Formats: sequence, structure tokens, C-alpha cells
Amino acid sequence: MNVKNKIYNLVILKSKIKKEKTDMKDSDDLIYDLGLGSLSLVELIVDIECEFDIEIDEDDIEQIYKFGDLVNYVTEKVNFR
Amino acid sequence: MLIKKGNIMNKIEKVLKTQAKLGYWPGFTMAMYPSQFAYDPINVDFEKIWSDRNEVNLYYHIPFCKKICPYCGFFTIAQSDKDYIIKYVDKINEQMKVYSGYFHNKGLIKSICFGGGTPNYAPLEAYYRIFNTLNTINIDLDDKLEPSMEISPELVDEEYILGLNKVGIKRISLGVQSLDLDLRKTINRDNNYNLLQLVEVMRKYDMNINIDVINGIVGQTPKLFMKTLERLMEFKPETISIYPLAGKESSILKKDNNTMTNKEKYDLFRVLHDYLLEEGYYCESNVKFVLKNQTSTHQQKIYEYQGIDTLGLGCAARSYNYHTHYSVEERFNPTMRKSLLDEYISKDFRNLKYYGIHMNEQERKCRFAIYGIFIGCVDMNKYFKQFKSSFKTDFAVHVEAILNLGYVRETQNNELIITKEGRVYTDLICTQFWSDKVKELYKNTDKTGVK
Repeated sequence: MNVKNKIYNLVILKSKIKKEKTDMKDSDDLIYDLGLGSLSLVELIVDIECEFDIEIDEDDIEQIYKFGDLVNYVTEKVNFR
Repeated sequence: MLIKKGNIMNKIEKVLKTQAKLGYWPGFTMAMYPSQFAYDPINVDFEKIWSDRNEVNLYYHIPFCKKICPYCGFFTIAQSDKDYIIKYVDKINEQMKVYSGYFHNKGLIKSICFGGGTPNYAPLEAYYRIFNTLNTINIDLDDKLEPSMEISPELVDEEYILGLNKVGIKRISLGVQSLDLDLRKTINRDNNYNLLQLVEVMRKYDMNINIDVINGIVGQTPKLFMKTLERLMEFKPETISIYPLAGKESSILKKDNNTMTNKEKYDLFRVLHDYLLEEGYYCESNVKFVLKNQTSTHQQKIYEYQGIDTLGLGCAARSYNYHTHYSVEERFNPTMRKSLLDEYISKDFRNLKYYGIHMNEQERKCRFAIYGIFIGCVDMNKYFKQFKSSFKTDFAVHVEAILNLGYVRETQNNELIITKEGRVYTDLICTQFWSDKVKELYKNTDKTGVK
């Protein structure tokens, strides 16, 4: 399973708005379009860190608003691990 | 267990570490457990649930205010009709008379607290009537009783304090919030009083003093907050309570440049903690510091942590009974407050509509853990005695996590003692001890409590 699919599965577990994989857009806002709150966002970060064995920097998280940003960030981290 | 390369870290430890790293704060949800978002409409069998209870805290809710402060999320109403207030108080007394017939073996009142609202907005007559009722019904008052009242300093004078002293109030909790004049304006507070003069009057009548201060006011910097604390040291109140302005979860992503971030608040706590300890206080909880070598404190909370039930009297007062937690409160619909008050005054309290939760063994265990952490000591022997099971078995992953993170240390007496870092992150730690049911309910609220 590629990074994007894995992240989709993790996001959908936490989000209030259950979008089909084909409906999920890179431009979807994690909060406004996918219904993640602060608590579920923290849980998502923990899940992603565990799944991909990476550390997400606290400063970086403030720059990640969209689903696509998250996929790109994690892909980069995984590739440079 | 979650396996992380190089070391083993359980999921709770990982979550707590990440929450601290990102500056997450769940909201001020720890003052009671389960919090109100877990409440549903319920039927309450008042006689049955109180008939095996003997020691009781009394909380009187006096919801009246001169004006409503923008930051206040409590059940309050601007009401200047003194006759209406007296009618309300008479109803409270009726309610108390009924309850006094339910307690096991003549109830023993361990603490009395008047909160609001602005209790000192009620005429003194209200308190004469309340204490007169308490002195004539079939209950005992504990020898160590320190009746306490929340007071708005802008609305009190010497005559009123003398009157409170006469009825038996021994502790005044002053809602100062901040001593910075500009910040006070932003939270709609008047600057018409001299705190030191007021303190002098209260000392004259042997009143113990608590000062409430708020952090997180728009425009408040850590430096401004510390200035207020420094000024309080001029008279050393017996207790200082420090509450966050917003009782709501705050975002980790968005930052308002005029308010402290959660990380700044966590750092501020470290600074004020050390400062107050140097000034002769000890940290009773992450929101309360108590002056050493004296006994005055917020008795209700301490006794609640020890497992004593609280009976809430008045409209929207919450009761924390061993079997059931309940309230008539519908706080998230402020437009209903006046009609709820009218209904409270006109009906028998037993016929009102209640919200709450029936406590089961799992929720009691969680409450034990959370209150232990909040107060700084989880007594695992006491837990075993109460639940006939091991704390370390029931909360194995939690205990491992908070020990590994240095948030608690274990003593030879089988206690977990919270550390300074544990105090910093008390709210985060406590959410990890919520039951699965309460966690799920929290996720399904919009963090103002609405499901």
C-alpha cells in the first residue's frame, strides 16, 4: 500500500466526515473539509508517526493544513529516513 | 503495545509526548469527572441515591449577577430583583429540607460553598435564611467546617463582610482575575475597588482569603500575569486559584497573536509554580496553591477528591453522588436560563427535568485515578481497598506511560506522586484516564459541550 493510501486510511479513522477514497482531494482542509479536531489531529499524528516510524516536527505541523500537504510531508520524511 | 525502533513506547506515552510537544490542551475539563459533555437526560431517584450517604458537601448555586462577564461560561443571569432572589433562596431551603430527610444516619455536612453567579449580589437576608435552615434541620455540621463564598470584589463593602461573618462564612474567594487595569477592561471588570483595603477588612473579621486569577486573557503576557501574582504576595492570601480563561479545547494549529499559546501557558505554569513555592506555598493541584502552615483551602474539592459526595442546591447546581451525577442545567442554551429559574422556583425540584450520568464501577475507577492525579497523589492501597483490584493492573499502560515520562514517581507506600512536569500536563494526563465511553462522547461534542 502506498503512502497516500495508508494516510487516507488513518485520516478516515479519525475524521468526522467520512469521505470515500475517490472523493478525497489533496486540497481538502484537514479541519474544515475532513472534520478533524485538535484531539483527533494529535491522535492522527501519533498514528502516522507509528505507522511510518517517523517523527513529525512541531514547527512543521503548523504548516500542514491540507490532506495533500500531509501526504507530501510524510512521503518526504519516509524517503529521507 | 506500540513498538518503536530502538525503544518500546506504549501508545499512551506516545500520545502524551506528542500532545506536550505540539502544545495541545484539552480544555479545563478536569474539575469534575465525568464532565458535563457526558451527561444525558436521566431519571433520578433522589431518596434511593442519598439514603446510603452520610458525609456530604453542600454547594449552593447563586446564579445572579449585576452583569454577565464575557468570559463566563457558568449558569448565570443578570437579575436585580431582590424579592426574586429571596424567593429562589427560599426554594433552595425547601430543597435542602427534603434532602436532609434522605441522608443515612443524619447527614454530616463536611463543607459548604456558595458559588455563582455572584453570591454577594444576593442580599444578606438570603444567607440568614440559609444558615437558619441549616441550623434547624436534622443534620450535623462538621467541626472543621469552613463555609466559603465566592465574592465579586467590585460589589462588596465592610457591612456586607461583617454580615457574612455573623452568619458563619469563614472563607472568601475573591474573583480578582487580574490586577492589570487594561486587562480588566477587556474582561468587562470594573476598577472601583482597592484590593488591599478590602483584604484589610476581611482580615479584621478573621476571614480566610482565596484569590481567583485567570490566565489567557487577550493581551495578557506571562510577564503581566506574574505582576498580578507578585502584587498578591503583598498580603499572602491563604490560597490562590489560577484558572484558564477559556474552558474549551484550543486549536494547536491556529494562533491568535494577542493570546498566549498553550506552550507559553505550560511554560508560564513552570515559572509561577517555582515562584509560589519560593513564596511559601505548596501546589495542591495544577490550579490551586495553598499557603503552608495553615488549614484554609477549598474544602469541597479536597473532600470530593477523597470520595465524599457533593449535593448541589439551587438551579443548575451539579450533584456528584456516588451513584449518580446530575443537574437541571442546560448551560449551553443561555436563552433558557430565566425559564429554568422560574421553573425551579415554581415546582418541586423532584419534578424537574434532569441531565446526568449513572456512575458504574468503571467510571468510579476512572474518577479515582483522575482525582488522585489532580490532587497529586494516587493512593494505590486505598484503590485496592475500595475496588478489590490492583490500580497497576487496571491502568497498566497508563501507569507505565506516566512513570516513563516522569510525570509521577512511585513511593514505597504504594503511591504515585505527581511531579512538577506532571502538574504542568495534568489536564493531558487526566484525559488518558477517561473511560472509552467518555472519550467517545468527548469526540462527538463540539467542545462547547453540545453533542
